[in-house]
Amino acid sequence: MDDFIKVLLKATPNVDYKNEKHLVDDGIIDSLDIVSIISELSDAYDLNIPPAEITPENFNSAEAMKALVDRLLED
Amino acid sequence: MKFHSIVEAIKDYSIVKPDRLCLVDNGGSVTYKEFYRRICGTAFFLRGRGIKPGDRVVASAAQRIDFLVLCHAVQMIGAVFVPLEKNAGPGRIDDIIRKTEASLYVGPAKTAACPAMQATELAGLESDREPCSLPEADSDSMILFTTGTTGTSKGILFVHSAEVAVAENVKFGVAMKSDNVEIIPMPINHSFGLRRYFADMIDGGTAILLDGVVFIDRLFQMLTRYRATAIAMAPSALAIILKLSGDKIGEYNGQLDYIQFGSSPLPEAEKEKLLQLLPDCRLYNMYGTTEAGCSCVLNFNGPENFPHCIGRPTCHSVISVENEAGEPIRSSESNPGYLLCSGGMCMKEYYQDPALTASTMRRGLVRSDDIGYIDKDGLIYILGRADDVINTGGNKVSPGEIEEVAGAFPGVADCACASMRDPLLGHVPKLFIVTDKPLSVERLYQFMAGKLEKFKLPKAIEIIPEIPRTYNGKIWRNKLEGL
Repeated sequence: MDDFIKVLLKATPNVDYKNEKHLVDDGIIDSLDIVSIISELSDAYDLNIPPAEITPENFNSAEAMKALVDRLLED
Repeated sequence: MKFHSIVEAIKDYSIVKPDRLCLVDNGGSVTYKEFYRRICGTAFFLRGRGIKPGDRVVASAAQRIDFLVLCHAVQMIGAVFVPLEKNAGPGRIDDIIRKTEASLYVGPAKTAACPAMQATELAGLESDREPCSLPEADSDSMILFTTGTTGTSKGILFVHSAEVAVAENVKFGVAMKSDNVEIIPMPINHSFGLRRYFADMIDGGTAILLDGVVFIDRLFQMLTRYRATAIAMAPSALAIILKLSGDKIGEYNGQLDYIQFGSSPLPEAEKEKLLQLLPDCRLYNMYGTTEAGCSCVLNFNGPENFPHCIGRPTCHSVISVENEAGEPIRSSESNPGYLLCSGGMCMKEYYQDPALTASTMRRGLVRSDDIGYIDKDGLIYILGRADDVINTGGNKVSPGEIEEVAGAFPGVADCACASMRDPLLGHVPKLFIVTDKPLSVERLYQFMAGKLEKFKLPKAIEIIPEIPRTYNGKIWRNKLEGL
């Protein structure tokens, strides 16, 4: 999980991914942050995140984003 | 003008088109009749809480129907609505409450600066009766606080007739058809989103509120489910749509009647992309300031899409040009000046700032900080903001022109130009770039040298991780100049 968070921090350096579990709901990350995160995840894991998976639930926490990436890598 | 206020338009359509879909948000929808009933119910509640005509009510924005119910309920009882951005921090909220001497704050934040309540306490309020007669056209309606990208945040006071006038500027500017269904993914506390919503209301159309476009599937679901005929967005939203979904927006060619842009200039590359994807869709760029809204419009899918052209004045707008000394001039490309705007959509004043009002507004003319000119055919052109335009050794350089060229170089994901002090020339341009792949700064410079006059070339190019922007996508140049 630490390595995954390091990737997220490249996109959004000042976010407390270990403790914040409502990143979208609480406005801790905004639209442009999410676009940056998608770019970093796409580069780091060589995957494409389909539009249907870009939902508030999938980006609300580091754990949710990790689960999304794991699911996409399995497919 | 047909209506004295936006709330009068909503009332009118609640009678003549009661079952017409009025508003949609993430949680549901309302017809015009339902919307008006909720406005009346909330207005009764606010009156019961002691809110009186002339009182100011500050509210943290939410991209929801509830927020607009509150807005019009406040206005219905003659009070003044003060919307704030969704993520405004406690310091900003308290500052605005104090500046406006607000009687009530509605939102999630904790404040001791005035009585406060959560938006959820207003849920479920409805009434078939009206608590009072509707506000007069010339009574105060709203204070919009600017984002403060070029200085301190200013409160701009409007009257109801100005809201109707700006709505008509938009409605006629985009040749809005009846039964329009418009998606608005822009913050509804900000003038851009609000004014497009106003336009839909005075025309009996439907406004669909989206919380941005990054949850891109929602945009396409709304486009499909409601057969949306229009979208109103800032260029930054289009950039996200194209990045996340490629050419998918092109599937709606034939369904979309128009897309309107504003808040900041649309980059040429994205303009060209959109023209290819949506050849049958009218594509508008609407220019305006918070102080004088939606004053010029350009259909850039039409014959007047010239570089730096912002189109023609909208129906309530008159544009003129003056020099530094405040004298009217016959402007031209070689003799630009400050653009002025007059018309029914203009602000009443800067809230409690008569000195700033007097320096900006004379004889009903609102002077902008934009430098431009009017050509012999009546088309308006803009070079840039006066405080952005870089005076380098006497030559005027528009940062936007440099950004447009740099942005076309492969590997430049984003860029912005700011002024840098120079011992010889006074000020020179400096370019900041964000890269999405390795690039040669030297090759970038050579590329720019092939397209720009020598005095416009940046004297320094710096790679940074992110271009500072406001929440509505505008480049925050003050922050760049501090780097």
